[in-house]
Amino acid sequence: MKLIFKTGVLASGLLKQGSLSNPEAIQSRESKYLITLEIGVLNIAKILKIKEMRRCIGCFSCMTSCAVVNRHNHSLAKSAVRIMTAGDLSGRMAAIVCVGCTGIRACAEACPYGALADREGGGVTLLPDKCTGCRNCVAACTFGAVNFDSTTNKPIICKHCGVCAQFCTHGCLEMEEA
Amino acid sequence: MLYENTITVLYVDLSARTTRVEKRADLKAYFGGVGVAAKLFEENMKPELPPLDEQQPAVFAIGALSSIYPVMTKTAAMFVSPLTGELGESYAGGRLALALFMAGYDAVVITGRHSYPCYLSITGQGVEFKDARPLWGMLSEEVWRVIHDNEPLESNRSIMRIGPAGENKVAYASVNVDNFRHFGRLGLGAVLGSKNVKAITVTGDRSIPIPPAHLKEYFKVYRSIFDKVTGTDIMKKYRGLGSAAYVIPLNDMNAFPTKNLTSGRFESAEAVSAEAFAEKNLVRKMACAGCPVDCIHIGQFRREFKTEGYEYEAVNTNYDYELVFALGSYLGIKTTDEILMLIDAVEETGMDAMSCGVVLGWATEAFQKGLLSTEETLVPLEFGGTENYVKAIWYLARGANEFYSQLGRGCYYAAQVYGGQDFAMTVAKNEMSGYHTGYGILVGSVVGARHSHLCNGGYELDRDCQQLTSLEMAEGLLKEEKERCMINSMIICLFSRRAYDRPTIIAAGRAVGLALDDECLTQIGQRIFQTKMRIRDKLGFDLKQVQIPKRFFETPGLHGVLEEKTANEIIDFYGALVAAEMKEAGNTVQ
Repeated sequence: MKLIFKTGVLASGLLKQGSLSNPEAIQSRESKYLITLEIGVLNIAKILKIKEMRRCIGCFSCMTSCAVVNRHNHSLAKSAVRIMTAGDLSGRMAAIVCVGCTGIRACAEACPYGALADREGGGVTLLPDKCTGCRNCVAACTFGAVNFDSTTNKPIICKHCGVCAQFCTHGCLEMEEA
Repeated sequence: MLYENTITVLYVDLSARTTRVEKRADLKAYFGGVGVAAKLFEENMKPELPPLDEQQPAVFAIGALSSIYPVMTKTAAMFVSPLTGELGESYAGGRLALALFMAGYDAVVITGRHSYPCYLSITGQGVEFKDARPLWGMLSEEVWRVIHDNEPLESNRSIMRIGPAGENKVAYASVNVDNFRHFGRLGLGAVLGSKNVKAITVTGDRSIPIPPAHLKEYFKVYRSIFDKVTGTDIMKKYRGLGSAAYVIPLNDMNAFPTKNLTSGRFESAEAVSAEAFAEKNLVRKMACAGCPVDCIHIGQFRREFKTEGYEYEAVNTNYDYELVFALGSYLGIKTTDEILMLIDAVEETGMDAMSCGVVLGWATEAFQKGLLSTEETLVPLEFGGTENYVKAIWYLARGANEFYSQLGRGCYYAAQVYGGQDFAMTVAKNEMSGYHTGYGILVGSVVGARHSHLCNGGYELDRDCQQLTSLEMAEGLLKEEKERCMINSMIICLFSRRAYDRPTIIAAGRAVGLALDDECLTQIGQRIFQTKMRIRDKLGFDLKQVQIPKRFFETPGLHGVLEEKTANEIIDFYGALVAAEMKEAGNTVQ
């Protein structure tokens, strides 16, 4: 049987634990999401989309916030999103991040250990206990969106949590209904 | 380094091609940024040798809170200035601070001279000395492109480089950093050129775990500052029109230096205002890494390069207030397109835009007055004459003849040779800034440790205070100079100084385990200030020897015409205050 992770289940699990009343949980400006440092932003059936990269100012706030919230780290190398310079000095930026494949996910398909489970709405969820750090998923993604954490020896898998989109002031990254 | 009790210093000896890393606990008292840079510079400088001697150091340092909070994006550089012969200090944004932080270095000290042109590739694993002989002579953007394409693709990388002006040791050559950011003032480009360093690239990918005890508080403070700089009006001006928004207000104050400061008002101010740039030229905005405020304004112009056949080239370059003043009003340039043309030439050749504009302003007036002829200038210079100014910028960068070589030493020196000292608009040998507001900016630049308008922000005292006595002005400048020493130890971009008031700095520091309080911030500022005063003294600066060009006392500014006597009185008060403080602290100063 195929294992599908429902973000909604995670959310309701947190509700039961009383995290919504946790004063440390930070309500966003738009109140669309709930950020907790434990698991990032909870989004029910939403998917991260690269939208208007011509508007990107190269501030890297998406990378910073992803690394802090999801990896508890200041290093941009820990971010699931990468922003690259494309072209000349005043050229546009490119975002490299999981595009949330539906159907067969190449990264999951390449994993010999079943460590990447399909995520509801698109993309995958990492099951760390099953991952051996073989990097097959890194090589399998045509988009180059699977980053690797050499400290934990595991891939950095985008959760489509949306924290990067929250810290994007120019609408380059946005969350969409799956 | 953050979360550690030592400062990590990378020492690079270009002559021996060796490097070493030291972790120094003693430097923690200097916090970071300008504090650490000043201490390392004091240890390594050679006051008895010329500024471009190979033994002189180039020191870079990131701030104590660099890259972990919004707008904390700058790196400090210290060197002996080939322009003034004394303390050279400059700041650049871009990705450099982030890259050094990710590579694991708080500071880099570069000494010696490579035997042939090289570029340095600095990573967390060490330094590679790479051949830059094919890059020597290349323009700024081309060097960037070559290194960008040659080095492994990394997002956490910074590329700084010099242009032909740095190679030719023009005393105000800049170092261009990433996308249109610069170590602009005081000639770091010539220092790197003298060391045969064409470029430096820094890449880092280390893990920097946030200690669990700090995580929640850190993220809370990060977010509150992020919201403050993006969601309130505090930095609205920089996000919107950019720093060029100062053009109209300063012109209205009679403080917009025009045509070699023969006036504080420019008849074409509206045509070169930020609003005009936004309507005609602005094509995109960018930010430094770690700053959500897109203050870097890119303007575009197109240039027809053949008279028939519809042959055009499109040029993108950055504009800011200081550039619009120096390469605009100061030279009588009346359109945004023409200003961008001059900026592009300065950018590509790698020179400080402010010094470049001001030396050309002096040359133009000297030409008009017959002190110079086309024998020296090669092309006739006149205010508003864009085409010949572009040529003159290239002549300057390449030292095309004896005259341009002298002009490349700054207009203080050029005026010693050719005359016109009264209108060679320097303050202690550094070319003036774009604010003719009053005693605050003028005296502030004279007494400031590096003679920059940013040492103590004297223009703000001029703008905000009408009736200061000479003593109050001296005290105000001294207080702000020390405060900026503290701010530059973090290093907080001065554009965001209103977002980072003291309570915010304290909260930001405490959230990552720095035991900060008000008293501690004051002490940091004082300690750094005194270090800089010791350096200034050792490099032979004497406040009493500064001669202020007469033009400053002829052209009316915000508060009318300034009196030389009053300016000298404020300088004397300032000198006495500093001498008393240094004596009390056990230092001696002239």
